[in-house]
Order: sequence, then C-alpha cells, then structure tokens
Amino acid sequence: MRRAMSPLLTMVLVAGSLALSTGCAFVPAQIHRTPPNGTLPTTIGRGREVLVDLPFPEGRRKLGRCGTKKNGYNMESADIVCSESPGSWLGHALAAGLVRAGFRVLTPSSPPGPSTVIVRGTVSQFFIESNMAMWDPMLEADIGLTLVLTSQSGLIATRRFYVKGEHSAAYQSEEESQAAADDATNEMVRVTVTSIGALLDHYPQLGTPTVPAVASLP
Amino acid sequence: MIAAVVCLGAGALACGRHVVLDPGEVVRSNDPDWRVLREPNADGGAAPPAPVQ
Repeated sequence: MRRAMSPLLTMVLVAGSLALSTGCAFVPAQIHRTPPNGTLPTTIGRGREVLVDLPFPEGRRKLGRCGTKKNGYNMESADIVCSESPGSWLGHALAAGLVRAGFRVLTPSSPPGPSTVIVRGTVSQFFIESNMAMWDPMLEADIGLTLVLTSQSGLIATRRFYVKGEHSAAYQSEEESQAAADDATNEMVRVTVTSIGALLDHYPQLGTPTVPAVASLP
Repeated sequence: MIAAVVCLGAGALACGRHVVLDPGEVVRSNDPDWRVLREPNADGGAAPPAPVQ
C-alpha cells in the first residue's frame, strides 16, 4: 500500500526545487574586465598616435554596482558588482582596442605631441539587468559612453555612444552576467575604435608619432 | 502543499526589492556622427587655447 507523502517532506521538496530554480538570482555576482574579443582591422590605426586619459570619470547617478538580478516577480533580488569602476573598465578596454586596431597608444603620463590625439571619456551608463520574459529570459548590458577627442593642434570633437549586450539568463549566474558585460564591452570597443579611426581619416595631420617610446596598455 | 507553495512564493516576493532601474537621465541613443567643435591646424602645429565658452 502506497503511503502518502508527509507534509514536511512535501515542503522540503518544494523549497528545494524553488531554491534550485531561483537560487542564483539571490546571490550577488561579481564581474571582471576580460581581454578584448572580436575582430578589429589593424589598418584602422595605421600607427597614429593617441593618448587615452585613464580612467574615465563616471557620470552615472548611482555608483557602487553594475547591475541587478531579478526574481521571478521581476523584482530586484541581488546586485551585480564590477571588480573595477566602469570608468576604468571602459578606458582600459578602449585603449586595448586601439592597440589592436593599430594605433600607437601612449600612457596617460606620456607627454603628447602637438598632433597626438587625446581621448577622454565619461561613462553615462553601465548597467546589467535581466529581462524576465517567460520563455526566453535575457540579461541585457547597457553601456553609455561620451568621448571627447582633443589635440594640442586644436581638435575638439565629441560623440555619444550607446550599446547593448545580451546573453541568455536561464540561471542569472555570474557567468551569464559576465558574458552580457563582455558582449556589450566588445561592441562598445568596436564602435568607438572604428569611429575614432573614421574621424581621424578627415585630418591626416593628426596622430603623427612624436614620442619614440610607446607604452603598451592592457 | 498549496499552503507551502503560497508561503514560499511570498518569501520569494519578500526577498526582492521593488525594481528601481539605475536612476538618472540616460540618453539611450547614439550620436549619428562626431560634433567637431574645433578643427585642428592644417599644419599639425600647436594651436592657441580654445576660447572659454
């Protein structure tokens, strides 16, 4: 004869299955800047000299976290934090992307020449959150960045950039948060490096190497 | 069983906080192109400081 399941065992099973299905959403995640990925033609930079003024200051209203996880009721349940400030994150990522694209990137302490292009940025957004769609939950990473390019020879140019990265959010795990942030960072680097190259193509007098020592930035 | 589910559901609700997305006025768009406020000298030499705006 089959015995009925005790109420206590039932509760334990239900609690266990709920914890398994939503547990990751209640645990904070920490994400890190990873080496840049994606392809950038090395012909963009053509050895032109730029200086990235690191780190970029933050224009975000709410600092201290880089995103949020949500529970099944679309309510915030845990923070996503970055291992470094988004200003440092994006500044270093952009510098690395410029190196990969063939620019000569000077360290911030290097003296720029008259035609060296100085890249400054302000982070307006860096936030990861889940879009709790019923069948296809996604983690979305939004990055907003305003760049200002100057040179001692007189250039002043500015442009706002905004990109989104996405990754499936079946468990809202740290790996999924990381993947969404990496996706958005790589897209931001691709767009900004390409755009900087296109702007400098209008001014062939810019970026002429004047400093023999070239520092490699991470 | 039903009571357990209701109880745990309420607990899950209590674990969450009301969604307040990253506040602030964020411009969620890209500029179509660079805004060049000042062009560089044609010869690449140093330019006088830009006027204060």
